[in-house]
Amino acid sequence: MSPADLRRGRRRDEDTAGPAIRVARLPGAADGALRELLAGLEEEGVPATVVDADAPSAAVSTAAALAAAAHAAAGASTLRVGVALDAEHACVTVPRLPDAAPFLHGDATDPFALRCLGQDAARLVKTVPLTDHPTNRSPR
Amino acid sequence: MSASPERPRLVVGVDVGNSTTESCVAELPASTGAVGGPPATDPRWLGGHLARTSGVKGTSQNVAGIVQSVRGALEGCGRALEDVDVLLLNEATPVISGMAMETITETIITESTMIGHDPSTPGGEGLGVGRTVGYDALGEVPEGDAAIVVIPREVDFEDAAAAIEAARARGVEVRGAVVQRDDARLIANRLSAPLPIVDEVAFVDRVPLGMDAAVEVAAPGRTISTLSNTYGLATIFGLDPEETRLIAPVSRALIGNRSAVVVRTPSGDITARRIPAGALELIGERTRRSVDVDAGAEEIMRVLRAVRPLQDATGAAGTNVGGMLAGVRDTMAALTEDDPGDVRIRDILAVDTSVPQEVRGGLAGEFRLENAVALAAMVRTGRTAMERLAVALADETGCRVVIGGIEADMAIRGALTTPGTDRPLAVLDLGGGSTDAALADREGRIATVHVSGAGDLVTKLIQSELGLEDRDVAEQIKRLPLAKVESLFQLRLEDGSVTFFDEALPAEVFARVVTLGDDGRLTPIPTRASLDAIRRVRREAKRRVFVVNALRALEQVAPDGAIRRLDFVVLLGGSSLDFEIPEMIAEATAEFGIVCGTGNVRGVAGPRNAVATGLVARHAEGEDGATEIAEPGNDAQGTRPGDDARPGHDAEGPHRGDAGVAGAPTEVRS
Repeated sequence: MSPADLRRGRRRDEDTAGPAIRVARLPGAADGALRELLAGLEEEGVPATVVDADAPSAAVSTAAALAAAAHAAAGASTLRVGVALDAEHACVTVPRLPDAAPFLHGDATDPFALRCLGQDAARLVKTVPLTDHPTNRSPR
Repeated sequence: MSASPERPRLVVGVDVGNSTTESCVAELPASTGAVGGPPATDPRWLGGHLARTSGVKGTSQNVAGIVQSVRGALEGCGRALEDVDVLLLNEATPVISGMAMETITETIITESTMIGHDPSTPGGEGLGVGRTVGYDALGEVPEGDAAIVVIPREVDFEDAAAAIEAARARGVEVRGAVVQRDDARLIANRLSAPLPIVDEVAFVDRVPLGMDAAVEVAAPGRTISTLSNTYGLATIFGLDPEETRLIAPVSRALIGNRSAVVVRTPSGDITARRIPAGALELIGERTRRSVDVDAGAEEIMRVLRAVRPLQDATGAAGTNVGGMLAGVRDTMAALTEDDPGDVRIRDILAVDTSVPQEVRGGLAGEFRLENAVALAAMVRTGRTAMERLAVALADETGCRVVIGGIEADMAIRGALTTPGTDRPLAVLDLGGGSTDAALADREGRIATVHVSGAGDLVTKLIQSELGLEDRDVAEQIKRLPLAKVESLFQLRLEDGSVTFFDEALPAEVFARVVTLGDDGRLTPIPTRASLDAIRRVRREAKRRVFVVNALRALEQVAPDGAIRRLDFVVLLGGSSLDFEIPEMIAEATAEFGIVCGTGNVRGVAGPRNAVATGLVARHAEGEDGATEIAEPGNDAQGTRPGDDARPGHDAEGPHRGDAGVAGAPTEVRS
């Protein structure tokens, strides 16, 4: 890799063992939704690794499965931030939070909300104030 | 005397301040205070209460606040308004204050358009110079031309990157980009060669097309060096000396940014209008002096000292300062129902400050700190206003209302209920609108002075210097310590210590500077300023108002004007509850060898309630109470403790006197 490439940051499709936010992609997540989420992360300059998560068992609700996937991703992330995306929702969390109560929550059918959610996940790592997107707040 | 001699009398002292109305309830033995009765007995203190002052101090609008405060105090000790024998109102609150702030510099960009809003994530790095071209027209740019492409919100980042790559492949020199969305890095990451990109430009449609422009993005951790340098701009655009002079405000406005855009537009359609700051005319008893506001606060205060006691202040018509003082005068006139021409400004505090102002000619809502002068001015209210208030209050409550007791006299009496105090004693009453000092010597002679500027001015300085829209946020910054949320579970306080939380902190406060409420509540401050910067603004505002005014006021009551000759100073008033103002004043007075501390009225009320308490104390010491408003006394010199037949003292007396020497009570009331 040339120095010029390094300065421009890593591309999202590059496999990395370095610091990265882990994005769990559940079955049904749309390509377009993932693209916006990752664009948010990239704009903030924080690397991400995408992993495919298993389909949730019938025993748990989709919301619980999404939250659990984000929590698992956060635990496995070198930057301690995990994101999960399914057909309808996306969420962001950190390992210290309960696995059923993710930190941020967004609508996976709204591209702008996803972009902001991606940026907010990155900003959690950077410790800078989050975007002021109104809906990406988990009810607490 | 309305009280029957058989039962104890219930007395309520009320002090209407600029921001709070305080009351104090006490029970006096039945016969106390009767003419020729037995000697005064100590009142039995039942409690006090505090409410927000309704309307402006000294006007009939205050009734609602007084009633609320009195009711609160009575409820606290299980009494009712019907039981009250008399309401004691402090004598014609002598001053009301007004504030004005005027910028004396202004940045108007006439020859160029600039973007200097400093987005958090610009793309690429370096300097690019070319002609601005709309995204749609990029395909028509001739081969070999240098272009700065302007990309609106609708364009996806991948399409934008592809179009730039295609234009480059055609031989167009794309040198930079201006983007509406937060897409700079996304586009930069998809280009084969780096390109400086500035994003989050809200008014991208206002970027003039077909003009020479420069885009600069600095490397992470650095700031731009070419566009923030006037000669750098002159070099890029090939400017002559006259044009360079005109473009200088642009480079000044961009200093410290990580990214910026400057577009050169044909000259001359906007002309810079500059209102001269003007001269302030200070009229003293013997002399009048003029001082240029441009000279700054320090010079204004120096000249003010020379003309003291101030009789009035004016500014030349058509200048900023003229408008400012006229505004204060009009506000005061409206409140006191006097003619604006009759309002006399009796004290001024000037403070240098800076105000973020939107840059005219900017395209992303840029702000620039402009120099400004804040003035707090003080006028004396008419006695009639106080009488109207007393009548309105009597109507509202059905109680007998007595106006009486010079505020400073009462403050000292109240302060003397602080354990460990005795005469001679100086008090500094740090209020909302004015800072008052009073000195009681061993014989009880009292000198007082009121100077303008106090807590409200501090709030205003904080609000304007941080560019806050909400005054309440500024008020919180003034009153509460700061902290920075460092992670979801930890908070670093401004003293450097760290607090941990079991539950995650809310997303709204994450990574933000917050105020730490008394109940532990975290309120985010809507600004990009760092904790250190906010703290500096807060402390400087307090220092420039309260330390300056404390010394200025003490100097005017001290014997021979020598602060050194004071021994004990008790701080009173709401601002004495502040977590750092008392120590700032203590530190500043320590070098004069003064013992200075915060009062503790009645041993329980802290620095609050002194005047209300003093009113009751005086009443208990044997005031007749039969006259609603006492007649002017002739023995104004050398008042004994307990001798209170002085309300109505000559209104035209000097503002300050050599009190410690002559012992003349110099308080001036309307």
